[in-house]
Amino acid sequence: MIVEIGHFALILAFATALAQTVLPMWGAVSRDPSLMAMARPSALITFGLVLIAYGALTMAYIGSDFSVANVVMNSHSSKPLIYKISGVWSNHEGSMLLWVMILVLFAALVALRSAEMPERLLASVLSVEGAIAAAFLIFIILTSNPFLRLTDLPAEGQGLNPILEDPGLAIHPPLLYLGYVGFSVAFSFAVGALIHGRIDAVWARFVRPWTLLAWIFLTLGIAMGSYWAYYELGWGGWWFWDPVENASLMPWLMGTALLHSTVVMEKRDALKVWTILLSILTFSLSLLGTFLVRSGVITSVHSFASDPARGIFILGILTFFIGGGLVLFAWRGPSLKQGGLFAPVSREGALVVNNLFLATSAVAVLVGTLYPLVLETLNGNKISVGAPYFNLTAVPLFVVLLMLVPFGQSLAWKRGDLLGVGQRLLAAFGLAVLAMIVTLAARQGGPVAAPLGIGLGVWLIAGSITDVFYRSYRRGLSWSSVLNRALGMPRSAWGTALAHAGMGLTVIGISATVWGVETLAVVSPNEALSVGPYRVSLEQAFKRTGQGFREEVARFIVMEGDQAKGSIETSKRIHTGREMPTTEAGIVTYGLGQLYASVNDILPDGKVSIRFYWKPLVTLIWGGALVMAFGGMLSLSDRRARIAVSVKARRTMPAPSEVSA
Amino acid sequence: MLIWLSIALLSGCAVLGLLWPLAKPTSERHGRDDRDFYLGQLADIERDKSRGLLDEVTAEDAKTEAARRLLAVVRDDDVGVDPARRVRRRKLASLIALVCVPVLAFTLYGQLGSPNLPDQPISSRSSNLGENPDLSMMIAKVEARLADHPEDGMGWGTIAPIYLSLGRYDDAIKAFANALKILGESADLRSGLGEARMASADGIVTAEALVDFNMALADDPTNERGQYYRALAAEQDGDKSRALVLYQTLYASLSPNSDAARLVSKHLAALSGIQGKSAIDPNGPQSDMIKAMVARLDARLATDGSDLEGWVKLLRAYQVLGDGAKVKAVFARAKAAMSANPDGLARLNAAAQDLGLSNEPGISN
Repeated sequence: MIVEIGHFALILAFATALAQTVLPMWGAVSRDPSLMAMARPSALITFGLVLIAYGALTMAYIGSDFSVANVVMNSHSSKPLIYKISGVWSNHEGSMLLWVMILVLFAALVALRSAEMPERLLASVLSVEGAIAAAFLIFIILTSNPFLRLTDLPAEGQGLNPILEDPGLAIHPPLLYLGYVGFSVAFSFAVGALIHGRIDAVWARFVRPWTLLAWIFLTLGIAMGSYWAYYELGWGGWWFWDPVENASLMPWLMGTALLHSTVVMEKRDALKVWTILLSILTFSLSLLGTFLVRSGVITSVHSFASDPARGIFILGILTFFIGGGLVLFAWRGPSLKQGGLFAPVSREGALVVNNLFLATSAVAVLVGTLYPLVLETLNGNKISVGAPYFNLTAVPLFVVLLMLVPFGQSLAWKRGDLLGVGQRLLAAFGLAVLAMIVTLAARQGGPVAAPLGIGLGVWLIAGSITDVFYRSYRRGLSWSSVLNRALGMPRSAWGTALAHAGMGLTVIGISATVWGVETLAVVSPNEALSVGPYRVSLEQAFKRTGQGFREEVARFIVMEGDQAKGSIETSKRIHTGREMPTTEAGIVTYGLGQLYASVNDILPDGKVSIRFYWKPLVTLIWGGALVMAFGGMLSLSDRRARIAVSVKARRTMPAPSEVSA
Repeated sequence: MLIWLSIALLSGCAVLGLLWPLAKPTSERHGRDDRDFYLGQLADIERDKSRGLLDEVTAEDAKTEAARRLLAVVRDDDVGVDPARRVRRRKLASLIALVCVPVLAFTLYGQLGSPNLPDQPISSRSSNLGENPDLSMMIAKVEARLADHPEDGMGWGTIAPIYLSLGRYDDAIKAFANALKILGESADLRSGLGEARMASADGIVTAEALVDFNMALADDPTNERGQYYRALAAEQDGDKSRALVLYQTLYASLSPNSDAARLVSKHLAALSGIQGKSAIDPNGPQSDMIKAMVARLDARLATDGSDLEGWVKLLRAYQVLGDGAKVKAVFARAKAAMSANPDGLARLNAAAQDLGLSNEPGISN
């Protein structure tokens, strides 16, 4: 009965989502407070119902209820509990349900955290959220229903794709979806604003935390996905410019632009129309990502369900919301009141540059992702646009943008002093150049780009430190009061500094990959290999069984000089019930670098064909992303001064107003 | 019953929740709006100024800007509202929540749901295979053995039907295929492979599966599974008459009280219900396939006339198709082919008599 209640709750949620779409919007248009007041409860009810449905499906997975077709296809009674729970979103139907649940969760959160929000704005925002939820709910109900039952029960389920049987799966999709779907709030705010023709600092203030929240989750989701691919797929790569990866990168780039433009809007009441457009585009790219991954247009590890009917349905939803949003923008955009003009050399001017670069690079990635698809549709040729394209288009844009970041960060609002900023950044620049020279000297040979990359990373970090320093330092102050002032800086300022420094760390991690060492060999027991600064020798190869799998393991001893540092294991694993063997990479972290082992084959005579990598500083790639996300969280926790006008010069930094979460 | 009660309760709660704001007494302004935002902002500026966080000039700047925006908002918001229309609007809104939401939900659920199916978590299923530790242990053992000895054809052959019965169709297909590769052609394994393919295609006998069944039947024409699925394939293709013939042939060879016979008789009953008496419509599209088969047989016999069974089959086929001229011609050719074989000729004549043909050439009954 639980399963059926879940099914009914899902369908009822579709009906209430429709009510949530129609009634509050009607209220907003006719300015009827009672109808507008229906927005809040309807959003909460829709969320409650989807939660019931999701809970029911999870129960079916936990109890291995093989009367549910979805459970049969994707679970197995002998799986560990965590994979039964994460198995819910390991497949198309369940992951769409998770997607919608996060969507209505955001709507419910907006409803709950909106005490200060103007009713009309709230009503139209929740109405648009309701429309998106209704569209995806009916998509699930009609084409991807996870509650379909079987009368003829199989004795056992078919298990989970072994690649997906991994803690990474438990974390990566929910994070990514939180990011994707979070941008729906910005979209709803934009559409709401367009419908009412009013957009101002109030709007920006309310939309900003949601954008920031979505951005944090998307950052974490992408980093997690990248790390998962790195250790699970056994290739040792962390980014492949795979269309599915690009699908998550595009909304991230656009969302980053949005994040910055809302600041301008909030502080200076400018860039309004552009911000609205960015809100629409960011969520459009999220939807496009969902379409690319879910429709089966792209074949990859993510397309576990390809079905043309679904693809066309999602394409319809996509066209409706993106097209509708853009048409609304074209129609109402010109009637929006433009914000004030501003000087090119100023914080806001720098943020415009930031926006241009980010949006352009998102377009470059979009072209590289869609071009092969379009070409294949037109003439059937399968081409692959790989790293070379992106290295020539998006990457240079990133590099120039990152070079400019410390300038923007140090410029003042309204009228910046470029010369002064230049002087202040001189030390940071010197540090960056020094870092470049040192790396060049230490690593003779190797691509020239790498030391430049290191320099760029150091430049970003030093730029952030400079910014914090000059915000706190005043001549004649004692060091302890400078420190106090630094600690007393608004959290959003710290957030900015950390996020940019985190980007610097990632850049350093990426640049260092060129010094990675790869060794491919067939070794006998006790035979040693040198990998970068370490030596590894094969201790033994043996067989082992674990829960739900058998594996052949190769264990190596790691030595540095004469000293044993530990051991590293890599295996070929065969999961019960699946013929597909997976390679389990062995990874050991030394300092910031990692030793990565991936077995190719264990030969009958006990020899092992093995691939070893030494990847210096590689953990910085993901560590930097974590720092960025942490910066976002700090900024989110800032009780931003509600004064949406500029303080002329930052002569006096306000002491921290009372701290609230 | 409980299920209907539960979902009725769920809908009731949802509708009540939706209607809640409409039940509250009307006040002109619920909650806060833009005015409050700017008023709050003005208050904040004043407070920050008094705490010395803002200097005089900045605070004045800020206040002017906030006040300017507040004015703009007030001007924009002053639009009259007609109370009568408001009441009508609320009535309509209540109606939508009260009627449309539940009706939509129940209609859709009525189409898609299975309210009568109970939950069946594995712990509540007493007589199932998955719970039987012996079987899962046995499977694990065989799998482990096969991993080390993939050349063990018997092992693959043993585990394949078990996979099939457990619903692990892809594994079953691989296991059958491995067994066939190692052990060589066998009607049982081949038809098992076909069955696994069919099961993984949701019960449709695909062209690929049909190839397997035909191979199985070529190996052993009496293979029951092969015969059954070949008939099923014809039925699924809409070729009712061919299906009927195939089922009938199979049914005749089965012992009357077996499960298989019951299964086949179900198909027969269903088909003859639709089909009526006349076996084949000679001009119907469904006879095209039979005609093609007959033509093939005909061609084969033209080159090799020694197959008595073949001649009899061909005679019977043309008779069923109602092509009298062909029957006569074939009978003449058969007799010519059998002329060197008196025994064969006698049997041919006996068969012809059974079919109601005279053995005088050119004279039909």
